[in-house]
Amino acid sequence: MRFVIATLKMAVGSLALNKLRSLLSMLGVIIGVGAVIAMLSLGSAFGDYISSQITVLGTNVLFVRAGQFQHGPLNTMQTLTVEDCEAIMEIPGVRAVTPLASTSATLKAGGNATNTAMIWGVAPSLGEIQDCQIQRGRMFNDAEVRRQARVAVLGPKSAQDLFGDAEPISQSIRIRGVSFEVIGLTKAVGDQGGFNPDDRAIIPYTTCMKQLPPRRDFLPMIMVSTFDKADLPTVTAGMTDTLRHRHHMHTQTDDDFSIRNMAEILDTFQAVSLGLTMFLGTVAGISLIVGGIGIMNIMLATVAERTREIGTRKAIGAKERDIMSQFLIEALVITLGGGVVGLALGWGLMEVGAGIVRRWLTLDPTLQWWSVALSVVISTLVGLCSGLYPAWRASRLDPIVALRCD
Amino acid sequence: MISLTEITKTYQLGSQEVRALRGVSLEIQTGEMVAVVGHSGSGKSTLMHILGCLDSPDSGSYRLEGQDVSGLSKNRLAEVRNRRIGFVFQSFNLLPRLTALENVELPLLYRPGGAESNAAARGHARQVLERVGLAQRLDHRPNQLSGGQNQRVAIARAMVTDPAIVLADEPTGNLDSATGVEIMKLLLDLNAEGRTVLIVTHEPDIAAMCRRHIRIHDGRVAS
Repeated sequence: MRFVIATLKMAVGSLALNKLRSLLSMLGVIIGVGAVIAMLSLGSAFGDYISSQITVLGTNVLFVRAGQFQHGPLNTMQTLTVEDCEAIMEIPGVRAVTPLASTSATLKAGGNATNTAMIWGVAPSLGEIQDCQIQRGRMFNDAEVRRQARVAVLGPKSAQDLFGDAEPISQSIRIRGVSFEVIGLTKAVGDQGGFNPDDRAIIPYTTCMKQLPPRRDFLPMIMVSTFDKADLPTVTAGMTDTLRHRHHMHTQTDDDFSIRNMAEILDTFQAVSLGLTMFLGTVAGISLIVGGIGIMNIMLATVAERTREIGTRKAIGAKERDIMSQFLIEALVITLGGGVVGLALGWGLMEVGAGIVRRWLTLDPTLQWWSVALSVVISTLVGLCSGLYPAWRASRLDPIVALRCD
Repeated sequence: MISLTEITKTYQLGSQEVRALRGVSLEIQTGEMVAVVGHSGSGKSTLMHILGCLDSPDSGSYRLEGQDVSGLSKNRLAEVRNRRIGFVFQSFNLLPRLTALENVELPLLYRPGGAESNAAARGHARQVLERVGLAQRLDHRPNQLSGGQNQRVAIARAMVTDPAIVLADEPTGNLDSATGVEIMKLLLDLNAEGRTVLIVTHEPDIAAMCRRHIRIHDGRVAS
């Protein structure tokens, strides 16, 4: 132990003596470990995002939005109607349709209020499109939709904010001055980053459109699910035809709606994620190999430079394994030092990467303990692989020859 | 103490065979102060290497304090060097990045088992450095010390393991004559304490300070 500590001290000392050389020899490990850390953290954040989107949004889901993305702000078109929903339901392959009159507002009950929560005006068929299981109570039914019933199904977070641990069902809440009866509670699914289904009130779309100010006759969005993923293209085409026909559009004009395919978007994200992972993985692999070779080179140079030191150490009683461990420890100090800096670099890369994709989706990557452990393991492996041969050469030096060397 | 019987050693130098030692037999008693002299190429360096357990003879036996060390493995030889032999080199061979104290401590680090604690090793190394007159230079590195001071550090390093023999290979070769005499006095002091000291030298006045001379000529003991 004493030997290891003394050797460590000496290794750090000799690295500090050649700061630039040490830094340059660490560079490969720094970049390699950085790339691995960034790759794993971003990859797992992507994976989490995609799987949560799949569970929350459903896989075979199409969103029809009023207006086009490229034409100014969304939802300025007033052409999407409840009748459009009924027409879409007739298209072969469509499993369920719901209008989505969404808004956001503060929910109030007694003296309590939530932060701004999502208000979703939908049909009971939402359950067939999106995974929103009822934990307690019930979803509203078609009859309640028809008579614009003032009933609401709350997300668990909203319920917690309003009622604490008290039973929310049958309680009364107010949304924009209109009072609703709580009839159900959805299961907790967790914050999806910018979209928290647990902080949401689901109400009949009719009530949302006719009773909540501002009252209106048009829909901002329609959600559609198909029976099969393979139906998505034909249903998309069918919906385009149906809606254009219903909106009496000429062939030259652009659609006054846009259809987004959730699965397609997720596929794109998945492809981006895979591409990023492969790119970073390649960078990591190459730089770790190059870095390892660089360190082996430096170690061989060090051994050559210090031949006389090795001879002296042997003369005063160092065994082959003492010399071997000395140079292995030095190689490990270089690679572990590189690993620590690489970890910081990877962290930075991860934040930058997440910042870039945040324009399209909310990623919240975190530095996981296992990626820290992995960078230690990688650095140790690179250190062992690149240090082993130089250390072995050092240990096998004949003390007589080594002592004679200048 | 030291008993060599019919030691031979042959080197392969390129395609040439060099018969460095051709049957050396000699006895050295505990507490002797011996000068090993001879021309370069006489085989005296090879003899020193074998006496210092840095090399093994091809034939013959070497008994050190009653133990036959001629057939020991590399690891066992390293232990023998560590415990029983103290080396002093012509060019000091101190590690440049270490302080005087750390240099002197070094052999204790290679003690199998590391029986001594950190503090004990450090204390011991300090004591030895004080004995060679470097109490004020413990934290100096070799490049901050004069040649004579460096050789004192090297002698302290050779003594720190309390070895049976001190082997000094041209210990004054890199020093001016006045400093050389000081170093010789230090080695004589060690001898006066009862330690066996062997000095390889080609300087007659250094050899003259030793009681016994062993002259090596053409791989044999000449006198």
